[in-house]
Amino acid sequence: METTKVEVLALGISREAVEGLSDALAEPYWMRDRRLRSWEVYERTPMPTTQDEEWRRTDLRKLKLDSFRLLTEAPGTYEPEGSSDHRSGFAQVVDGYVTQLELDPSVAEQGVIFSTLTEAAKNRPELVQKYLGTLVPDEYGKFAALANALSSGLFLYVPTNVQVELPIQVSHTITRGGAAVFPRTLIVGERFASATLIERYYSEDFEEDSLSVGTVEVFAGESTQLRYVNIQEWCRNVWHFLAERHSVGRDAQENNLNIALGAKQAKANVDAVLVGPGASCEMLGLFFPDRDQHYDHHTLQDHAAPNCFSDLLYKGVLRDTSRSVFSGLINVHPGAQKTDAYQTNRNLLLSDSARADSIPNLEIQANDVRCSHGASVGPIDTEQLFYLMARGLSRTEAERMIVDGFFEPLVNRIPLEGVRERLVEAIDRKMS
Amino acid sequence: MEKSLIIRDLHVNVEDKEILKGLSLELEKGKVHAVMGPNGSGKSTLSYALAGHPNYEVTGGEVLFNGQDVLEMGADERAQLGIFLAFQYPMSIPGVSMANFLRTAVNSVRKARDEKPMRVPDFRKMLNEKMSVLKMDRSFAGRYLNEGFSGGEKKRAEILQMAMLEPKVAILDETDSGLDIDALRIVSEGVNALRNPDTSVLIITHYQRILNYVKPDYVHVLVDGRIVTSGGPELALELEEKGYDWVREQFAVPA
Repeated sequence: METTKVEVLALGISREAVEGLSDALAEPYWMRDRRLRSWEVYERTPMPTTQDEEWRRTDLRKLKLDSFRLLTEAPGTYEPEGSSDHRSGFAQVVDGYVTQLELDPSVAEQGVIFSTLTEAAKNRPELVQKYLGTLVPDEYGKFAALANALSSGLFLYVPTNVQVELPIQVSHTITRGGAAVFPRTLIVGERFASATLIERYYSEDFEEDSLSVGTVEVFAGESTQLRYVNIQEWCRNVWHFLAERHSVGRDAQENNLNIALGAKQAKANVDAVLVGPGASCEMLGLFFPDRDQHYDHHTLQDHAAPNCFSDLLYKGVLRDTSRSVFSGLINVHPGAQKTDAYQTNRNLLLSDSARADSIPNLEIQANDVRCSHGASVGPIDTEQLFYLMARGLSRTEAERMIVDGFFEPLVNRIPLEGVRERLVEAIDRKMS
Repeated sequence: MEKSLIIRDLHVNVEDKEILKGLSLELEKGKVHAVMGPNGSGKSTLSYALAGHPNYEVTGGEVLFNGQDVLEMGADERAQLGIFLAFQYPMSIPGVSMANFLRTAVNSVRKARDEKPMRVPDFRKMLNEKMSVLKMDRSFAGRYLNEGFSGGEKKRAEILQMAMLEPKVAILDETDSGLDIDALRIVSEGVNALRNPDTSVLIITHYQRILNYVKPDYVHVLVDGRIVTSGGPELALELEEKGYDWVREQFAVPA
């Protein structure tokens, strides 16, 4: 297909851009009002600095927010993404605009909504108002407020008792440098519903820096089973920010997986709030920075109700002069008795110049809980390396084998074959 | 008789301490050589130095494999040439299955010899055959390499690797240690099954026990970093009877 893209990178990050976006989307006034309120919070919230505990190891001084522009029109055409994957639905978002959106009619018939947030705000305002921005409010931080002012995106709603068997896939891309995008996904699963959503951020290489400030809000209602996967494969010129929060209701089971392979500098907050008794959450993370990539993951296992279970495993491999931060908190509220919470972060350094910081935290305000955390940072064991080389593997092959083995227990826990395969390929590319 | 490996006047330091002090030894093709020595004589140093462990610093001498100097080669290149070390303490590699590892190793060696990678069905067949020789359950192939293996399983896994890689020089570093009599018999049968006119076997051991099962052609005695005497299989029995002190007295080793 001929691609003739209208390039209108006109407006910088500003109040005009907020108004322009709202106009372009022709959204209800209450959405516009929300955006403007968020913009005000953004404006009066100071930029985080390394003086702030959360940003102590991630320096934003080189981030020039005024160098990015929003597209004020949807790109003309963009090659639709083909896929042989079995899936229930698919959406493609290009430079911040939804260019393709489809949902299996048999799924739609059961009342499942998969639409743009704008459409949802028009057609189902009561749903959007009930959930949007409640997990990631403006107070969450300066970037959350900015995203609340400028984001657009997708809404997935799975009604009571509806099981969506095949995953829904969302693909976000940026086509050029200098762009700012604010992707957002809102997922609501009602009682006894189930669904899987796989979201991927991807871009080809470009020269100038671009910015992505993403927001994900996932609500798993009573006895719901939701699975959410986020794969970040931006090119090396993207500043990536992500606020991804999960609310897990009574007896619900939520699994989330975050994979970080791309971007220049990435700061991701992944939080699970266990709000109903019997809620269960698995949080998996895999990251592999190389060269001068810098990844910062902050996680929260927020146990607000009794008898909940959360299990977090984040594993990272670092090459070259890359840098990673993992800071994880298990927070057990008063009254959240019989909490079972586990947190593990393991880091493998492939170079002397790479650095990983691992900061586990526990805050326990109940007296009948089981909590544990473990963290490790270390180089490849030279004896393991020698053992493999003594069998004829080159140093590179031996390292690759050790890295594959390091990630294996985590990869094994991903029940999605397509994700697993692409992940193994991506790790191979990182190793070569 | 044709030689496969020639070690001349080998000096090796470990952490700046000289352990091998001019060791010379020649291995013949198709023969089994046993090197026996007391604790601290340099047995493990010899095996690690031959395999190319970076912490074993060669300060003098030469090691020739079919006339090629191997001392400048890395551990991987030596393995690709056909030098194999069965480790006394094999490392476990979590997350890497035995089968996956063996296939990578076999294909690395083949690649170095300009051979095509082995097809998966051929590899499977070969693996199953060799595992049945070693009386290993097929489930072994799916287990993580040495992870949670018993002492006997680890040694059998080493011999399995040797069988799969078909080396030209096989060095067995105290393979008998920690094995009960049944495991020792199985491992020895595995080694015997691999004997062929092309392969030299070097058994490094403290005790002559394993030599009851794998009959050596030659026995060499290692004391204080040197081979002090060599002989036929009868030498092992004499050592067993008289002890290493007898050797020390016979071949007074200068300090």
